[in-house]
Amino acid sequence: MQNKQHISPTANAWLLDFGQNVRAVVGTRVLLQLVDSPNVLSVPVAPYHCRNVFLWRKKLLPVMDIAARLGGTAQNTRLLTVVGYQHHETETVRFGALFLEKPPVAINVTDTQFCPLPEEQSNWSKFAISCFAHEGVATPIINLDTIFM
Amino acid sequence: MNTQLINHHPEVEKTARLTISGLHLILPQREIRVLESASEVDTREAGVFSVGWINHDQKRWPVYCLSQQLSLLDTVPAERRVCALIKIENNYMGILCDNASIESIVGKWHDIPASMRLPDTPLLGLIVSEENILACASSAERLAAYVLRLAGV
Repeated sequence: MQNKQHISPTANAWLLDFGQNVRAVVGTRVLLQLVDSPNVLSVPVAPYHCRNVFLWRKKLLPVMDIAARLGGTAQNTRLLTVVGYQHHETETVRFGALFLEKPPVAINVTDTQFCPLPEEQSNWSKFAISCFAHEGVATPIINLDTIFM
Repeated sequence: MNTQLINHHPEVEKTARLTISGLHLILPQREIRVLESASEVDTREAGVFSVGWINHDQKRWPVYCLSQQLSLLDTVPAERRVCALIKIENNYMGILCDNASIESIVGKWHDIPASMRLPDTPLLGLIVSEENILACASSAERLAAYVLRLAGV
C-alpha cells in the first residue's frame, strides 16, 4: 500500500521520526514516496544499520535504519520512505530508502530556529547539515549524502 | 554414494544456485566441482569452525555450514541436505546447502549499494528475478576467503 501525504503551502520540510527518539528533517523535494508494509529484501554481510534493499522503479535501493546508524538498535519498521538526493545540483539524483516509525509531518523551518545538534545523539555531527529547534527539541537536517556513504 | 558430477561447458556460462535457508547464493557453475549428499560428510574430528570433511580426489576437504546471513554455524540444520564442493585453484572446500541447482540465471544485475558494502563481503553483486527474488552473486575464491577469515584459518 502506498500512502500520499499532502504538504501545506507554507511547509518547506518533512519531519521524519525514525524511532528510538531519533527525529530529523529533509526538504520537501527530497521525499519521493511513502510505502506501507514494504517488501524489503535482506542482504547478508551488510552493516547492521543497512541490511535490506527495496526494489523501486527497477532500482535496488539501500534501506537505511537511521536510529541504528546513530548507535541505536536495529529495527524493521512497517513504513519506509524513498528519498532522492544530490551532492550538487548538477549531479545525477541518487536514491535510497529510510525506515520510518511514523508517517512524515510537513513543517515550516526558518533560519531563526537554528540551534546546536542534540547533545545526546552526538553522531549527528557526521550526518547533519544543520539543526533547528522544533517544538523545543533540537532537530537535525539530514545530510543524505553522508548517510548513504 | 550419491554424487552428482558437474559437467563443464566453457562456451556456456551457467551458474549454480545454492539455497541456504532462503538465501540464494549464485556461483559460476565451473567453480563447483561436485555435489554430494550431506550424509557423505564425515563429522568426526571436524576442524575449528568446520562441521566435517568430504573426500574428493583421494584427499579430504573441510566442510563448512553457513547461516542465511552467511555466519558460520557449528550445528548443522536438518535442511542442509547437499554439500557443494567449490574449487579454489588446486584446493576444495565443502559448503552445505539446502538445495543446489544449475541454471542460466535470468534477472537484473545490481551493484551492492555503497552504504551496504563491507570490505570483507563475499558478494560481488545482487540479482533480482522477475518474481522479485533476490539472489547474491559470489565466486568460489571470494566465498572461500570469506569463510576462512570467519574461521580464523
